[in-house]
Amino acid sequence: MNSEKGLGARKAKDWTMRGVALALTLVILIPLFDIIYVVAVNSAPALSLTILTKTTADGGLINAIAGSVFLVCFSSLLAILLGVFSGVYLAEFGGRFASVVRLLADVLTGVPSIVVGYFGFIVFVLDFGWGFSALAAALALTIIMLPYVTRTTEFALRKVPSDMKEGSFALGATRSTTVNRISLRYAAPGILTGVLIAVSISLGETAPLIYTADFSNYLPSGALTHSPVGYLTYVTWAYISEPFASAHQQAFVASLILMLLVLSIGLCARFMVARWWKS
Amino acid sequence: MVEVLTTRTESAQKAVMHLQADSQAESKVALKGLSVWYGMSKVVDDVSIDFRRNRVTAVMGPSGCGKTTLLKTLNRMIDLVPDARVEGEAYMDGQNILDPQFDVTILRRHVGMVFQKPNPFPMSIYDNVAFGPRIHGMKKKGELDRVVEESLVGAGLYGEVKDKLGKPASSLSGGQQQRMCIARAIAIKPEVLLLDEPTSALDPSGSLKVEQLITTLKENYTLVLVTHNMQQAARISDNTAFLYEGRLVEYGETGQMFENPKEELTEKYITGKFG
Ligand SMILES: Nc1ncnc2c1ncn2[C@@H]1O[C@H](COP(=O)(O)OP(=O)(O)OP(=O)(O)O)[C@@H](O)[C@H]1O
Ligand SMILES: [Mg+2]
Repeated sequence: MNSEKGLGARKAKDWTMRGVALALTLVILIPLFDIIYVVAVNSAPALSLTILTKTTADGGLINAIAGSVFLVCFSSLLAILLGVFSGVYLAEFGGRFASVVRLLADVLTGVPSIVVGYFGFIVFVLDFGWGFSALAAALALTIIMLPYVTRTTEFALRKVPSDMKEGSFALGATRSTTVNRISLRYAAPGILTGVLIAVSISLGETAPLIYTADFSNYLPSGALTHSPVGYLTYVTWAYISEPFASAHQQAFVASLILMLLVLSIGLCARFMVARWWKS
Repeated sequence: MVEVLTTRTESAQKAVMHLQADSQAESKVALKGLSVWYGMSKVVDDVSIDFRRNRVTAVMGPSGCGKTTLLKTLNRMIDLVPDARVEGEAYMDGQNILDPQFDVTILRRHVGMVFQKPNPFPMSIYDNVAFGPRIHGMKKKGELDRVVEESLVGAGLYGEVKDKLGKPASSLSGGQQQRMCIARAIAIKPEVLLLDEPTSALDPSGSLKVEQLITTLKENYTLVLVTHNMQQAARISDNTAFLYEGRLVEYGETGQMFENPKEELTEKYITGKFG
């Protein structure tokens, strides 16, 4: 047997693969670090407490931060409620109608978010007469999030081992008891991951909000309709084209805060999933 | 050989056979002319057996002969297989459990099942065992505590886990998991316990514990044990049913059947001269 020779060749191949993988990973990391660097350097001079105490009109960001958090929480609540239920339906009960829903969800993932924004404008802002408002904006974001939550819920539920479900049926459990007490529990980390990805995506969206939330220099009024809402991505998008250095700095700080929020959601997800598996 | 078995006289002979088997024990579950199809293929063929109270009945036969299918019919888990079709009758205490009107959740409260591979739920040991009682409406902490303890004691596992009932069930060894699954099954106090090769995934000492457990459970339950292990059947079963290609070839008292099988097929299987 010429195992020695074969082994050498295999090792060489292995090392080449490793090298290529490492090089490509670095190529991906360079722009990422560049973005972080640019944002950090440009926002550094403006970092102060005013960001949290003043509104955008006075050089702060508090109205945009509050608006973003409010819109994302509101839409996440709706998306989780609707998405988890429809995911359960698709995975556990669906018949032919389910394949139609599944197709629609997949199509919805591919619809450009600006189209969702325009749809929100026509339907919620104009037809329903809500005006630029938190409700219209949150529903537009919900539409963006919904397919992610639905599909990850469905996938996570499909991965539940069938012998576990059979164990539950064999004890006299009904289908809904089995879904509630076994399947959803087993699938929870997967569903959570999907939800947090959807939350991160919605946090970074601008297009669906431009037509539905407009923008406001004031803190969210609490009114659900006829009251525009400020949000962070708008500051990044609009202030960068203003001819003032202070506006540019605000835009970069808004980006920095968005990045930190997404990062903390990601870390939170990892932490929660890790803890879940342990317990 | 197979043709010979399909002849008419066979069913008459079978009727005599199961009358002979252990007639001093009462019948708990009686199958009458049970057949099961998956799509077009008939995998259980006109089987009639009396499973007797307080006895362990071993169901043996080569892989694919329909043993699991037969068990799944007894607690109607077969209903979950979309293209399965069942014909014939199965009486438990005189009621036909195959009647579509018969509520499966009630049936499964009375007919527990332990699977080939331990299948702990993703929760603590306590919650696993309390699962059945809880879904059937038991809420009081004290009551649940008592049932969980009783069941774990019954499954011979209490001593090993009493200090870690809150730990996830997945942290137990395979053998412990299987005994926990038995505890979970007996926590709802069924009358019949179906065991589908419960020791096939266990090491010898784990198997021994489960075997001892099965022998003690006999006092309170009617047990049906699918096994590929002939020594195991000989050690712990009272009656044995031998299935071949979906048909009941022989059914009788275990000792007698192993020493002096009536059918040539049974003898071949027992002596390992098969295929
Ligand atoms: N869900 C199903 N759909 C179609 N055919 C099936 C299904 N389950 C089992 N079968 C077939 O039915 C026959 C009997 O299966 P069964 O699982 O009852 O055999 P078994 O005696 O338990 O075998 P083993 O000893 O290998 O567990 C086999 O030929 C199998 O391929
Ligand atoms: Mg089997």
